[in-house]
Amino acid sequence: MSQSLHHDLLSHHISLSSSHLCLVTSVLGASGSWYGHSLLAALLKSSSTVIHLSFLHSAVFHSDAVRKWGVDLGQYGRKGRYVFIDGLSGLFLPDRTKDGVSMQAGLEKLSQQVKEKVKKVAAAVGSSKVVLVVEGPDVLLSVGGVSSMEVVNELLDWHELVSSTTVMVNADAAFVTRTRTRLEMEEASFVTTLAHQAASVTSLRMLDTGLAKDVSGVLRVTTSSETANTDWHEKEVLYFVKDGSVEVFNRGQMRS
Amino acid sequence: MSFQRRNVIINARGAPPRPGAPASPGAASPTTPTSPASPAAPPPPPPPGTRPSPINGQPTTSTGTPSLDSLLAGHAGLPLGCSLLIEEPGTTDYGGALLRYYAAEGIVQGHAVTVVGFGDHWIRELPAVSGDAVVDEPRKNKESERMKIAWRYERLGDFGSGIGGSRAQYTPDRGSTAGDKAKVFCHAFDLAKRLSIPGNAKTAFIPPPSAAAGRDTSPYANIIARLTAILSQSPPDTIHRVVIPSLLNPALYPPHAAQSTYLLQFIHSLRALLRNYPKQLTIMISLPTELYPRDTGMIRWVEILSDGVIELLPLPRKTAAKDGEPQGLVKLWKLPILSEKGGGTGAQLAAGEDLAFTVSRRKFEITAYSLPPADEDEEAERAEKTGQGEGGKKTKVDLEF
Repeated sequence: MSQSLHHDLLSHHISLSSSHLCLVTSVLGASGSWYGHSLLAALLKSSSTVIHLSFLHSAVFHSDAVRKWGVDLGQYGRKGRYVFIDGLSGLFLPDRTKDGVSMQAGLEKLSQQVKEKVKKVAAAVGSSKVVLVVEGPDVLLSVGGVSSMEVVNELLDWHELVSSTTVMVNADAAFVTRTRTRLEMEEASFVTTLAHQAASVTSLRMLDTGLAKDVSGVLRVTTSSETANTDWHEKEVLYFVKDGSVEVFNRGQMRS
Repeated sequence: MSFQRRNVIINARGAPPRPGAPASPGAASPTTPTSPASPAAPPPPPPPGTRPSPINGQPTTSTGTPSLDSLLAGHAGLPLGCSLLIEEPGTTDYGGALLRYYAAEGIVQGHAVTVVGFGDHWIRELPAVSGDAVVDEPRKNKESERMKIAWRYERLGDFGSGIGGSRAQYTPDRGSTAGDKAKVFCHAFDLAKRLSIPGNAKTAFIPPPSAAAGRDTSPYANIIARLTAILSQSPPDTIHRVVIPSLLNPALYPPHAAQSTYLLQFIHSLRALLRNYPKQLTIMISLPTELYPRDTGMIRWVEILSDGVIELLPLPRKTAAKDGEPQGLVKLWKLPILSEKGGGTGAQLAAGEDLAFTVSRRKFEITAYSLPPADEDEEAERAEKTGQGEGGKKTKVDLEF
């Protein structure tokens, strides 16, 4: 039961995202990485080619976590169906692996590096099959100090090269509602702009009523009215991340 | 002979059988020469002061505080390659005590300890290892009532015993008793005594950013460069601990160090270093949040880029604390590994329990917090004062007319 609900959400996400932008937001206590991992697994199983750009995590973290979903990223990597772009280790340090992107020469240079990689993959398999997953591009705002419009423009540029894009950002209340400093204002405008562009917004947050032993958080999917050809526009479910699996369920549902 | 007797325990580590164990003659010994496929080289023992996590086998190291170790998402220690951020509002510095234990534990275990922002006087004030008298007493009792069936779970501590530090007392049961001494994972420290630093201790000190450097360059560039150099020049089996006490403290850091771009670049680079040295490096940072509160975007980013976030909230003090009364509350905002994977911190705590910390001369302890029960004597006194003295003294017999 719970597996199928999770499966529904993912297939909804994938079906909507064709030629669209999707947004996944998370907060400090409710990280969206499990959703990202299950999405990666579902995408790879559905014969898409995935380009994964992560500014927050290392390749090892992702491959360990996605293995729990029955997908070996290394294997797909060798087949050329999964390309990881490291936006963490070389962003501000001298890169040792050489497969990452760097911010030291500015945003244009970084964007250039990303585009080159994306174009290479798109040329190999055809751009209609390529899905781009970007994790934490808001790092560029906060850490890189560039404006939100610049990053949004770059994201849309990348999006034009592929068939669909999923962007995962942080949307803590500290960023979205407290707009006093430059960082907070940029962060708020970034999230809001993307949310308006996106065909669907999946937002993760902590349980409103406090901490619970068997619930990790709340997941809410909102679909834009233009693109909605599905039977629902909005859905809110609970989820629980266990050691090696995730349970997704409705409020009040009986659980084993 | 290709069969092995089923009831013989296979010694996974390839260690010699314990001398006390009855050697079953002819059971295991003939198979050893005829089985070249058996693992030729046993895995090297973990470096001193580390042990595999009971959850995912990732190497962990102790924070120097047993009760904090046991709170870290079941890993029973701080996983290598992770950072821990300790936030504290107000003017107290309880977080500093945690950092001192962490550094002292590192020195005792022979880890390389790097202190950012302070000179070597900081390390001379570390607490000394105290006798294990306190620790040993309950352990001996436990030893006698050890369960035979659940030997696997023993290391996980007493089930349902709250969050006490029982997990930290686990030492592998193999090897001689002399070996156990060297394998202590977490020592007990005495804040009143000073740790004598051994001459061969691998310590390094990185000065705080100077205000003299221009505002246009990152004040943290030097720190990151030094850290990178220290890490890349050390042998790959050295365990490093980086201590950053009172980050952004205006007495140490120049004003432009609090510019969000510089600060977050620094934290992001630390995160990159942690991921580049996942088997060697841990970092502990204390951050006074009086000037830079938690609900600002900048500090929230620092939290997102850290692996674990703990907040210490000191309780207001009226008089001198009674013995064992907690000094403040502990909030877990993010736990290493678990939170990154999406798990909630609620699963760690027994049913919405609050946590509190107590600092005494002996130890820093995090326990479940509950309001003390109303004192019965006080209650009786109050009853007498309000003229209902009779009510207070009613016995059971009186009530049964």
